[in-house]
Amino acid sequence: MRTVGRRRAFPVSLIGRYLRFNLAAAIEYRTAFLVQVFGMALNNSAFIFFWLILFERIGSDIRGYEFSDVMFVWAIVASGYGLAVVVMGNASQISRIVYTGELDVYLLQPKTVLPNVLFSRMVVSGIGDFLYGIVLFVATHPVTARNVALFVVFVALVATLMTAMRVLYHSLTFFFGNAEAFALTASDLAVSFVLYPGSIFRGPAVWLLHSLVPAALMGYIPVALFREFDPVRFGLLILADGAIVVIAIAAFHLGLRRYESGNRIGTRT
Amino acid sequence: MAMSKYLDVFRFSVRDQTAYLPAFMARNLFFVVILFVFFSLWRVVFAESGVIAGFTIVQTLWYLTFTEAIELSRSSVLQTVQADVKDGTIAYDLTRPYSYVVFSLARGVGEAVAKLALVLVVGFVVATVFVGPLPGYFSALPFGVLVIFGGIVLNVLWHLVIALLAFWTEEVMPFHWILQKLVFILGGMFFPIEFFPDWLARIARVLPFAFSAYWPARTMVAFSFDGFLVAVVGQAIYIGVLLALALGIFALAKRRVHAHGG
Repeated sequence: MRTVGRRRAFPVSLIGRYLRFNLAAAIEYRTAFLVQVFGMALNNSAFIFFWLILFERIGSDIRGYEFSDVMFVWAIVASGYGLAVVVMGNASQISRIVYTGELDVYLLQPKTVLPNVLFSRMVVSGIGDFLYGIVLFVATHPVTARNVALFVVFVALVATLMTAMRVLYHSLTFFFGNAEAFALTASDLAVSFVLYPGSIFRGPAVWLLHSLVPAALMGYIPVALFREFDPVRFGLLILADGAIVVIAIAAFHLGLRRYESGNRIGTRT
Repeated sequence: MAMSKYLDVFRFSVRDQTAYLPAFMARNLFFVVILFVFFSLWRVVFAESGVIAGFTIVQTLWYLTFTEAIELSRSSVLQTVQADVKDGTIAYDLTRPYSYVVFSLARGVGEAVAKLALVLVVGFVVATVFVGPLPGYFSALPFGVLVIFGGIVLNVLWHLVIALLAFWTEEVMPFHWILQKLVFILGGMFFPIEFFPDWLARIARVLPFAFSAYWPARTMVAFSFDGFLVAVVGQAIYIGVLLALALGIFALAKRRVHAHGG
């Protein structure tokens, strides 16, 4: 089956409805919901102690990174990750949706395919990550209008970038049959790097972290801008993030042209 | 004779795992990434002083290969036992001529040992490339293998105890997250407990979490016979306590199993 032509633009109000519906479904199992949210927040908290002990032991900064810088990166990445998986939780499921033929269900609906796929699932534990990032930010930085504004902007950028990277990696499934294992590993890779001071890496790793594994866009450049704001550098960051979003959308739509239906019959309830 | 059936379960579990090892290693690209990240971090941190709390960069990176090897080779006993409890499969196991707890322990340890062997080899290669060979590696190895195995048994027992709580709570993953983070922090997963402030180090050394990570890794990177004895005795005590706890919980939990024919 070839995918077909015009669809209505994706209404913003539908995002709100998806969120309300997914949240209501999660809260139905109240204990499991609370355990997941607070369990994840507690889970993340452990790493504060790691950095506290390390900074106390060495008694100085780590090549320009203070404790508060590391906590800022943790805060925007945790909240950004949480926002991404709460609002667009289906990004990490794209491979499965494609290779099982579940995409047919979305293609039959009169809405733009990619946003309809992305917004239709919520990862509940992401609420814990989102809240944890906010608490960590408030606890480790002065709450001024300038700081809060930058925090909000960077959380939104991290969420957008993480989702775009997932869409890009998982879209490879359209071309290679099943790229799920690669996409899951590649998506986690940037997070593995970004939670450590960017200044510790050198040589080819620096190039890698500014391109294929964009940890620099997620954390290293935002923390530098948070310390000292530079409008030109900020503009370049937006452009770089935007480029990755455009590439991800293009990859998904190119892949969609190659998609062949499994003639799967299903419903979304 | 009674133990031989559990040794057979252990052996079968090791053999089963060899079929899945390529997939397991592909997933553990993460291990190499973590070693690279910590190599980069320690290179900067140790550039200032050379030695921190008596450890060199070589010892500290190799230390991580052993603690991570124990952590990454964890078995699926937590998921298996939790699923058995939730879907009621455990009722069938009660009629079989073995102890469900010891059977699960043998199966879990077998699975973990098979994974461990491969992770240790990868850790050996990667750490050698990054910081060079670990002095005293081969002389510490016979002792280290014993306490690394003890760490694996402790981990499987922890998972078994947590999984059995599913009789009461159904969902046990948050307990697992908490345990994992206690091992990460108080167990000295990322760096030796000597890095901690003194007051915290004194407490952390005797807690069970240290016997799953710190003591086995320390035996390999800073071997002393006294340290090895502390590791063995501590592990034996905590293995005994956790095994008794698992058997006790299971005995209590059995009363909650209801069979409805079928």
